[in-house]
Amino acid sequence: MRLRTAVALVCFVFALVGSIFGTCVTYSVADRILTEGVYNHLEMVVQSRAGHVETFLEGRKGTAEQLSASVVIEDFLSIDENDSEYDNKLGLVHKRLGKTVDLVDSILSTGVLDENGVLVASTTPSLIGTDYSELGYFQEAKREIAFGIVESPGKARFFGVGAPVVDSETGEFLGVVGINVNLEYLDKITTERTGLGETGEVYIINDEKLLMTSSRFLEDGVFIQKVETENADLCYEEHIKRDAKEHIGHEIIMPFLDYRGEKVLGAHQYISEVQWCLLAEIDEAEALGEPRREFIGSALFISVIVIFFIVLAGFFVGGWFEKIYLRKKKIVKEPCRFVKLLSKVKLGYFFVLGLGFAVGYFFVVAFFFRGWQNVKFFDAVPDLMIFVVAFMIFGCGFRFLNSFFIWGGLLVAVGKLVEFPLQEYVVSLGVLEPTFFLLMCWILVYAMNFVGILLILYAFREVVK
Amino acid sequence: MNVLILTSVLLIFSIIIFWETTVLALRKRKIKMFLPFFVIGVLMCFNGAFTFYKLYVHYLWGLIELGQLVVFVWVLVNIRREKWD
Repeated sequence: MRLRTAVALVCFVFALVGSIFGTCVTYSVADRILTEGVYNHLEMVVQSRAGHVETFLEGRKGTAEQLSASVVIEDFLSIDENDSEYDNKLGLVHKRLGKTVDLVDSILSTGVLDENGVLVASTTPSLIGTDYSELGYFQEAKREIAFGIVESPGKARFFGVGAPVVDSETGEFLGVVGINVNLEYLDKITTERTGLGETGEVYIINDEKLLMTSSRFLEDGVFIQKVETENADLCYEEHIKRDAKEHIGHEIIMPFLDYRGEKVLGAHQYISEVQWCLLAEIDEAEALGEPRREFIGSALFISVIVIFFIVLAGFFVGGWFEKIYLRKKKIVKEPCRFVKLLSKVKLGYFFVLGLGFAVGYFFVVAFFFRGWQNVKFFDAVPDLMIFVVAFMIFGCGFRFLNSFFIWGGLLVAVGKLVEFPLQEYVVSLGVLEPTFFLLMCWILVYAMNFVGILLILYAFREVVK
Repeated sequence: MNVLILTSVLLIFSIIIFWETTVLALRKRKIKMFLPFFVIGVLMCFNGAFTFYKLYVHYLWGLIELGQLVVFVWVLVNIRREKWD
């Protein structure tokens, strides 16, 4: 082999390895910055939406508080059912309750429960007389304002807010005022699509991890769909661990699977007042897919250009060195010292060197795309073993001083080095229809493989007697 | 269209390899020595066919790669057996 070729070859190998490592490092940094940007955006979304939800809940809490402080309701609960004034006061209470429903859009119905939990007045007259003493939030509402989910009659979706009514003079517990708030008003806050792209969504789950607001992807998931995701688990776990009244959106650093089984990025916020979690999620493919694709495309393009110019420069510099060397030594058609050195290297060393490089390359490329745990080994291992064998054929070329073997082996080996990340790229993005860029890449890989095989074939033509 | 181009490229490459291998095998009268190159031509044809039918299935890819690995090992064994140095 001529010195010029050897220098170009060394330049090529250095440029290839350098560009792969350089691209990997740049990619991981860019990917981290991009992911952090998405998380920050999602955190901002959850904080602002949770703020809206909390303001909404505060408003309904205020309504319940106002009703519980009403003198009309207090008077009504203070008298006996057999009292002659009872019907008159009941009428006044109904008027008061009806006014509240009329004034506040989000309230579906209101009612008054006596100290035993029996509904004694309501804007839904058919329910009067129903015993709600077993209701969880009635027990809580005896002491303070409480929120709770009520088994909804029919298709109405609502949650209840209860406030205790006490005698203003003695402080004696008289009953509970309950209002049923329409969940569709929470939907209005969570289903606002601004800043969430095509696949982003915000939803609320209760402490049983049941969906409480409409989902973008499910038609009838409210109170049916259980959300057992990392985002939901973290929201409740971190709250319990911290024992804090409130905590704000901790991002999940790694993408996770959502309730549909899709890979998403997400953030959450715990709403302590009602023990709900507000979650914001967006598909990883939408948030990161396109920028990643663009980055890889540009990186590959730049790498090819850089490698080409470095090899070209190596070729000219090698030619210059060759001229000086031949002029000094006055040697014609003698293999250079580098080639002579390589020709003495045992084939086993080429195997070890190739295998070591292949294993390192495998981990770097796998890390670059989907993580080495997700690589399909039955595909990756033959690829890398072909590289090792082709590298050994390349080594044989030096031993036999046959440039066809050298170039053939090298082309097949390098073709495999390019093919492996290309396969990972295609599989990780799930591209089925090859784009023009992919077509060019595949043609390049196949052409390298084809020319390599042809050169090895020509080497056989030269040496087979 | 892109699929068609890729399939055509693979088929043209395999035809060239078949042609060259046949010519060399007949000229040198050593068919055994050139047999691996026939196999690699066949593998290329299969690759072209899978591409045409859009069979981007991982295990098929793996099988073709495995076939290629066997062929290259075979070529290396042939080189070593000849002891040309």
